[in-house]
Amino acid sequence: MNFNKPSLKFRHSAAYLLSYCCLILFSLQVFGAVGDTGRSTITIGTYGYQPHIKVSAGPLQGRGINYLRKLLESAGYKPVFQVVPRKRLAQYLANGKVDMAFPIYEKELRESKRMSVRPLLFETPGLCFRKENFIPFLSVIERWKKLDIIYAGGTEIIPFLAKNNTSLKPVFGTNIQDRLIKMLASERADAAYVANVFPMYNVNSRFYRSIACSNFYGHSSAVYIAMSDQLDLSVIRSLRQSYKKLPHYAEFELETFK
Amino acid sequence: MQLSRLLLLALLFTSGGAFGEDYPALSLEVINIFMASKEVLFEKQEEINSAEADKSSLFGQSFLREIDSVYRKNHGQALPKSDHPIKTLLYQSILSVMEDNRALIMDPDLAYKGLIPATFSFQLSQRFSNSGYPVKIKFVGLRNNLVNEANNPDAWEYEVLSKVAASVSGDGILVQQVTEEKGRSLVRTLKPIYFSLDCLSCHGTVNDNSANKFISKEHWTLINKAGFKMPNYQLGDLAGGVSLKLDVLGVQEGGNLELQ
Repeated sequence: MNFNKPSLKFRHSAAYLLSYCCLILFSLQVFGAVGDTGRSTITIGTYGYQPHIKVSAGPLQGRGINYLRKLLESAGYKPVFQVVPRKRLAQYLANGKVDMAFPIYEKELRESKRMSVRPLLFETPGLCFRKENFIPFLSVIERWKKLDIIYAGGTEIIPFLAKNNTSLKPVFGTNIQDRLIKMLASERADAAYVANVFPMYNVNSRFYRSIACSNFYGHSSAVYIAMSDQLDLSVIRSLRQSYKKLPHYAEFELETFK
Repeated sequence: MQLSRLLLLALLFTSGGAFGEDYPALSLEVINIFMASKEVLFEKQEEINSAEADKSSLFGQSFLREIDSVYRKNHGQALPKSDHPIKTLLYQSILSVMEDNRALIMDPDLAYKGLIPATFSFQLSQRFSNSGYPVKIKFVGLRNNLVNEANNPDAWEYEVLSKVAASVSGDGILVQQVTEEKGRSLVRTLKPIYFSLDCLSCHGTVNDNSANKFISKEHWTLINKAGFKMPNYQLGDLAGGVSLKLDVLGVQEGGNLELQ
């Protein structure tokens, strides 16, 4: 072989370079795979989110926990749940301090990745009443525009309510849900606004016997399971694959009712 | 565009797989399931509002069986299988909406729950349409008499409803059309709904008002159970329609959307 020919020299160098690149790529793949298979746990950031996530003295409970556990275990990972202050959860996810987070709202997603484009569930705001004063249709504004409505201080009020009622009063303190219900029961307010009706008014709620709630349909927010963008792509893929195989949360919820 | 032309357009593409899949037929099937579920909700009003009735048929597979029975009555065939993600999503949405209302349905202290076909179909359309899938379904009303602003028709729906309203009753059975929006093909379907006797108990005249049942005539009210004034519709008047918008490219890419 005559290596003095410039074209041959170039070909030779190119072949070396190509082999070298292939070797690097192969090594990366191997080490990457080892890294993935080596991962056995996934940390999920969460907070008390009734009735899906129940935070108490013992281990976390609720069908959200059961669902997440099933999802991770079916993908071959052990879930480690970490309770994080609500306002910091999205930040924890963005910084990679947790691998996954639930619940995450659309506006909190930032760079993190949704488990699916399809929300896991929806939150719907509404008004809760003493049963004898129940208003089934909140589209009939006349029925509630002059009522004294209380809400937990700091809760975001939907513009539709703020525009049509001028007697909105914030309530502060601990055990805020209990306070709101007590105020309703003692007729110190006509209705209580809640950002999410479901935890207040469901058949297992401790308030179920005393109140009934109506929803502001059309004002729902989507809630997702999100994954950190720092999570390895192969892990994200495997989690999504497992998620696809699981029954959707709505069906999973139905199962738990049986 | 004339109504007849719209119908012709429907015929032009319903026969063939212009998109590789028969989206117009699929759209119609979804609308028919949607309407059958709404009809079941109407039939179940007594059960829903009862304090003692067995309500198991309002949830889960039992509820789907009820829809199946109405679908068979209306279309002479069984409820379609969930052999397409859109149908799967619709069935899941129907069951989810009923579950969302479990507390209300089971509440023994409320004599009138307010879970009526209108609120059910609104919740269902919201649940279905906000699921990240490129298909939207909703009930659309007539612009001059909307109870819920969210039922406001868009330009296409308004045009179709106007044509249907102007045509001889029964002429506008179904309208389907392929439209373009931001360079994407949309299969649009609108099935008009006409007031039946059942509907008039809330949408008819003061004589039809179910809130006046067992009340002497001098105490009759113009306000219906929902809290709205009776709008004086007559049997066979156009009520609006069920509208479905299917983004063809979006559905074709559906497999990449990490659905289900």
